[in-house]
Amino acid sequence: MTDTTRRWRVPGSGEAVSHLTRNDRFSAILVVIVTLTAISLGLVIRQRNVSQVWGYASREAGIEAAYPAGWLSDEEGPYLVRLRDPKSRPFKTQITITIMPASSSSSVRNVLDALTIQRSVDLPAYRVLNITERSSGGLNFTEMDFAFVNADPNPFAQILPVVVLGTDLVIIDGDRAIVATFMDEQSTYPENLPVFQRFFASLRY
Amino acid sequence: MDSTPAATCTVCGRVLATRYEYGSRLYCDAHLHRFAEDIRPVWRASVTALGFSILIIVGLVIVSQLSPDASDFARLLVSITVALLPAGIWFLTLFRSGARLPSGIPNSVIIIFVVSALIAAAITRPFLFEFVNLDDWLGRTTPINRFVGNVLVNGFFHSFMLYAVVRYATWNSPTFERRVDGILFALAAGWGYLTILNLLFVFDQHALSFLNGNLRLITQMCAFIAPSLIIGYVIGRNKFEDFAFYYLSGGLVVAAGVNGLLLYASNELNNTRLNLAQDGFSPWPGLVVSLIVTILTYAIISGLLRRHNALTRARLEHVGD
Repeated sequence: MTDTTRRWRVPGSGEAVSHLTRNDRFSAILVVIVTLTAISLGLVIRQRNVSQVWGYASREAGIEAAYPAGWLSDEEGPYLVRLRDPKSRPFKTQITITIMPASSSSSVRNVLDALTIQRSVDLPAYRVLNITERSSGGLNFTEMDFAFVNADPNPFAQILPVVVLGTDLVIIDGDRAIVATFMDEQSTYPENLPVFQRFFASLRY
Repeated sequence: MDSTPAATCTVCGRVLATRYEYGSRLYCDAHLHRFAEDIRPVWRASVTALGFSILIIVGLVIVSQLSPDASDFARLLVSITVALLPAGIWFLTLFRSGARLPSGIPNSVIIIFVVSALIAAAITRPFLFEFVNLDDWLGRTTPINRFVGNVLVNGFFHSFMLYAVVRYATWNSPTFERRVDGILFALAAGWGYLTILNLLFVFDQHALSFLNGNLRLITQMCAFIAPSLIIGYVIGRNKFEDFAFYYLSGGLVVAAGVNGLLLYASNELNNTRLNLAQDGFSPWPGLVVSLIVTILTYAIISGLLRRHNALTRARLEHVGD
């Protein structure tokens, strides 16, 4: 063991020697190797992971976001884009981005009221559950949680209606309001909400 | 003529007429009996800085209740104060208590602080936040990837930077003459590094919210102080004893693990479940875990170092008899 103390005379004085031992030299190199290996591994994982999301970009609206790879995008509707998970049943988990005009005199409340009026007509048993002002990463936005019942209009389909929970996040950007909406079946909503949070974090406009 | 190379003292580098060996390292008479000494101001300063940080937390809670709608300028001032104050208290206590010591506190501590601050601003930030764009990825990926990314990229990068500052700037310096100097220098590096990262974060965000934003600064402080203690401990021990070649890298792995874990925990635990009743964020779980881990690391490192120093002194006295 190294914990020993000895004393001896040096035969004579001459050239001074370094007190770095072979272990010291090896360990100095090993630290660099371990660090580079770990960081490289982390970057490889990052690179592989980045390819697990697809990018959405709308040049017209100046909006970019990353959504889970494999989701279907659809731009044929009253929204900028609707992204849906094709595997989810019976209600397709979905994220939509809608652009609404917002003049300087209109408030977020006007935007939310317009959404509520429209959905009250389109969606059965639509209810607003909660409206809160939030901020994250220096960005202020308004969150509106809602619920409705999704029922297949086909009278021969033997499927029970499902309760769908949704969340709107509204950002006022100059003369427009950007509304990011997440909708999912009640039972899987908490589980899939992080997908929406990551989508929202990736939103650039 | 005798051509045998002369041995030199591990600490001061003087050629030894009479040489003493401990842990396969050579020492002159003075440094043999000095390297196991303690520097109490290091521990006192650390406890004081930690105590002040807890007081800052209490202050932030009170201020956020009293004036929730403060101006951006007021919030910016508070955030700058929160970013600077713990390091300031640490240095103030260190140098005031150290003034009573015969040898004092080496001024190179300040140089280490400045160098590590510059490294954080000039290397760490551009690399991690602009070149790798790590935060953007961590914000979008799964919790498991976030943990892995925090440990492998954040943890190893930060820990290596702190290690490199102490290892390459002080290892051969005669001011590094006690084991506890490793912790002194590593803490100085850690304070410089985290203070500049926190300050730049404050300037990036323009003004942080009184509670959530400023508590993040305290959480980040813990995430860098705990690994600094570990790095200082392993360098402090290895400088005065010849350990196996994997000793330093083992210490670095532990430090990177702690750093990554705390960075992960500070974000992940704070994201409480977002549902219809909660707004999805609380600064407290991450802060509490970070404080507990830092206090535990401090207790373990200080206990281990004091034990080793006591054993070394006992052995030297035994041999002296």
